[in-house]
Amino acid sequence: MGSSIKWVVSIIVIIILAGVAWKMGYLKMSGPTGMATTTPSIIATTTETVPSSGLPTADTDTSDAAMVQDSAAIDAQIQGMNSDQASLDQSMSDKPVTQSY
Amino acid sequence: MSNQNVMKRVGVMVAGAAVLVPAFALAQVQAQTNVDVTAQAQTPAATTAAQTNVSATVATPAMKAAIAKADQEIDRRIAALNDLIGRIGQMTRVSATLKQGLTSNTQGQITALTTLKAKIDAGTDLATLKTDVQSVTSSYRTFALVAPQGRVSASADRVANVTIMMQALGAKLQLRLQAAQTAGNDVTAAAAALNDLGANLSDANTRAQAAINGIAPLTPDNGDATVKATNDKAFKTAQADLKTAQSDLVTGRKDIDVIIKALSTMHAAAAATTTTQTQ
Repeated sequence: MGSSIKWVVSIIVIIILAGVAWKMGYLKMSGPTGMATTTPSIIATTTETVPSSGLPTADTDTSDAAMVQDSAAIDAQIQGMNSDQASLDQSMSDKPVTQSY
Repeated sequence: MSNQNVMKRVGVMVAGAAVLVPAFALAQVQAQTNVDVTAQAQTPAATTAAQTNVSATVATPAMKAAIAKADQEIDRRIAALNDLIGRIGQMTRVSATLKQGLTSNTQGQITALTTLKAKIDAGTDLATLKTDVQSVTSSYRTFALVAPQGRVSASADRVANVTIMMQALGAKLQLRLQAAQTAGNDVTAAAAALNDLGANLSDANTRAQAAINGIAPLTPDNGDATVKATNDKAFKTAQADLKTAQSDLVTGRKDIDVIIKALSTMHAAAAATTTTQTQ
């Protein structure tokens, strides 16, 4: 009986320790590691109202249709990138016009 | 190539394509409401003897022309700054603190220019007008900092946004490739594209961060040639970094196309994966 109790107590302790370890992040589900995401250090609170990735489809939706939609959304942002670059170029090339009177 | 090696390659996509756009403390630009007569003038000394003989209380045609031209310059800069404020409001990957700092500096410039314009428009004294018009040039030195500083931040924010979107899509593609490989498809080429995507995202992120870091501590040169040279160099470096980041993302987008095209030839495996995920 005594040894049985010891076994039970040991198992309970192990379960508790495992739970603490998991809670503290020492035990993580191993999954695809290639695209492990790291939370950016500065995130605007407004991103809480949209999916964190910014994609129009759910992060778990890997269907062909979803990826077509996601690609289109990325293309729109790339177009915006071109516009931003042009605005930056313009702001750096701004020259004062000479004044004469 | 063995399935095991391919799986390793699929799993080794560069991680950490995270965006770190710090809430840097922008140099608070003082709204220039006072005329700065000591600023390095970039306007030619075009005052003629004839003009000095004109009554100082009457706006001569030359003065009116100078006022009109000054107004034109001020309006142009105010329009650019208002456009910048609109763009700052669209930024999504930076902190509220950073956005607030950028908006505050930009709005401060608009206020200063608006005040200066009113002063110029109301002026009838030639000497005062000359000083005020020179202020358009001196205030330009702050515009020359605030405008590109805001634009670099906006560009970096956009790069961050695209990076995160591509990272998320890359994760989806990785799952699809793993499933396709499990189903017996050869994913070698697609896996290589996936790795390339990861590398490009990582570099884009690094470049965007460097751009922000480079322009964050800059201050208005106020006519100081040395400070101006430092600022110009920093902005040129940031501009180059952002162009490289953009190029990285364009290349990454092509990698995505390669992978999606490859997956389309593995339709049976993809359909099975989709079915599994919807259960």
